[in-house]
Amino acid sequence: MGQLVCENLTKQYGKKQVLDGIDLTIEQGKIYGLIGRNGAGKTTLLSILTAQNPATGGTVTYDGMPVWENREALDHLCFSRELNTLSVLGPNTIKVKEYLRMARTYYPNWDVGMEKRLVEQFGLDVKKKISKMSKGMLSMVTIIVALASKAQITILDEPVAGLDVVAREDFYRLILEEHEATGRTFVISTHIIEEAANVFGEVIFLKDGKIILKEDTQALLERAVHVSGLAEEVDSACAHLTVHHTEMIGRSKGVTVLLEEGQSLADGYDVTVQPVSLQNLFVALCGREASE
Amino acid sequence: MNELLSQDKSIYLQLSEMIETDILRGILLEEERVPSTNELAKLYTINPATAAKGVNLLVDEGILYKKRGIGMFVAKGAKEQIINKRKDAFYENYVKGLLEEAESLGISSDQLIEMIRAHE
Amino acid sequence: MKMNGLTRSLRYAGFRAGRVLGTAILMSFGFVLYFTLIAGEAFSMQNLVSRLPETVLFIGALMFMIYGMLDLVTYTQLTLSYGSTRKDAMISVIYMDLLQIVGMLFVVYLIFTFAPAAWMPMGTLEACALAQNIFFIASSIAMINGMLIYRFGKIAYYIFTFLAAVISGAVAGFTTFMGKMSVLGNVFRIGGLSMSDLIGVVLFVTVSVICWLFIRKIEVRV
Repeated sequence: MGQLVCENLTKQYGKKQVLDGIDLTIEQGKIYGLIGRNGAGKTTLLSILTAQNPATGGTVTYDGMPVWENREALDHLCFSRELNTLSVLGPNTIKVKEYLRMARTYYPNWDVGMEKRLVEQFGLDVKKKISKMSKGMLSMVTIIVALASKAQITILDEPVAGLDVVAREDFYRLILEEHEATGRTFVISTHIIEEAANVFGEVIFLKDGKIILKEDTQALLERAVHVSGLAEEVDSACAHLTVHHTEMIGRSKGVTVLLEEGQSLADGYDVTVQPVSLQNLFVALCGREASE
Repeated sequence: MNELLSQDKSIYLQLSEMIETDILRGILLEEERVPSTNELAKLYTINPATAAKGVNLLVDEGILYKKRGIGMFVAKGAKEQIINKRKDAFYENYVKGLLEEAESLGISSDQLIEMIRAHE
Repeated sequence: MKMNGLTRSLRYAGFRAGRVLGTAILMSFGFVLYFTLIAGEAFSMQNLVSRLPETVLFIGALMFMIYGMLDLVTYTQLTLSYGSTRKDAMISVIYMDLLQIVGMLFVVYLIFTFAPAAWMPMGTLEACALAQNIFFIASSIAMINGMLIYRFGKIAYYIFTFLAAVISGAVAGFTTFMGKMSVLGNVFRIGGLSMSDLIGVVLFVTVSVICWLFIRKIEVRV
């Protein structure tokens, strides 16, 4: 039972730098949220962490052993990818039944009981071909593979894509239940931030191939504030602080501030201070205007 | 408990406040067992570590205590303790904002007192 | 037996090979029935059985090409996505191919021993030698096409289907041709084994090596 660690991980596709010096430690027993815009490099990172794709530079180890071509290490990992109807080549796409059966053979700790229970709970028709399934149903398959694999470190890539809100709530509940029962580590990459914020013990923000943030969710939210009011007042209150995502209309201004250790807003200015939701914080740090 | 979580405050703080409110209202009685961290995590669909943080806050303050192997219980005198705690924080939580708003609207202290008296 | 990643891969590969063999055998009989019927010949056991050898070779080659092609792309991508190492994936692909070839050879052996076609004057041994050549060549072509499809996508698939049709036709014609040219085969014989018999195996080994270099570097795109 070890940690999944990567050091100075880089990945290049031709001239394009997709991952730029990533250092990451995934510890046992936590639920991590990996959040990043499309193209930030989430899937690439997760793929390399599980030795499914090679890195251009840097190392990835599980419990101290390199993961690349390492059966021992790979037995403890599971990367349940986002399936899409084009995934399996050619007209001979396989049935869900086959996909699950293969998974059963390859994952050493596969729990058939759990697989069957979840298939029933989700109402999946396993005889259907993957190319004929809806996005939501494919997400359910991703979730089933992830949960039934019973892998020590389980990674899910966009598991809630296509699921309606009730199904999403079911998913979060399933993850929490499984986590409680087995203490497994989960890493979940998602675009649907706000709902999942409470489930994640730690969040990781990935922007342009770099990790800009990795922190305990609650601790992070406690140091994020939104300051608004008259522009001059806001500027004075936030002097010496790094502001993000400045929004202005007329004489009114709003900024998001991430307070570091020992920092605080300057006192005595007429500003409204509000907490920031995880989603708003992400947009503030990784959104379009963030590069100001 | 069973109130909805909001985005206004840290989840673990909301959780501890909810438990306190329930103790005040008599929904949770002294020496009674409080739902476990895992039960709370399940109820609110939150990370168990967050739930634990909220519960531990109350344990540190002596409002709850742990009986090894059995669970968390409401301490004797917890209700009293919470009332005092909230009284102390009353100015900060309710009055300060009231005075600031009143000032920005130009309402004097006398007018405020007048308002309170009229609605007693 | 304690299972590790490799044995699990092999177990699945074995299961898959078995399925292909079963399908190939069934298809052979299906084709036999079909050809016999469309030829308008009298539906007799004799006629049915006489078409078997040719059909088996035809179907066998076809199967290897189709499944071999899919094996490489689909199978490798899938197994890697389930956490298999590339080494294990390569080993199981070869294992699957070999199992299929051996299986089909066994079928060819049985057919030529018990139901040789009157118009194909070939001994069982010669038939097997010919068959293994054809199967190995077909598998190699399949692997190459698998790599091409991965690299160039669907276009390669269509070109391949065309090639497969052409090659299958050629195989069918070739078997008849070889049947008449067994004399030529004798000229190159060295100690019981003809040089031309090894073309298939040599090609297969070469392509496998290329394939391994290819698999070592591919990216999972499932």
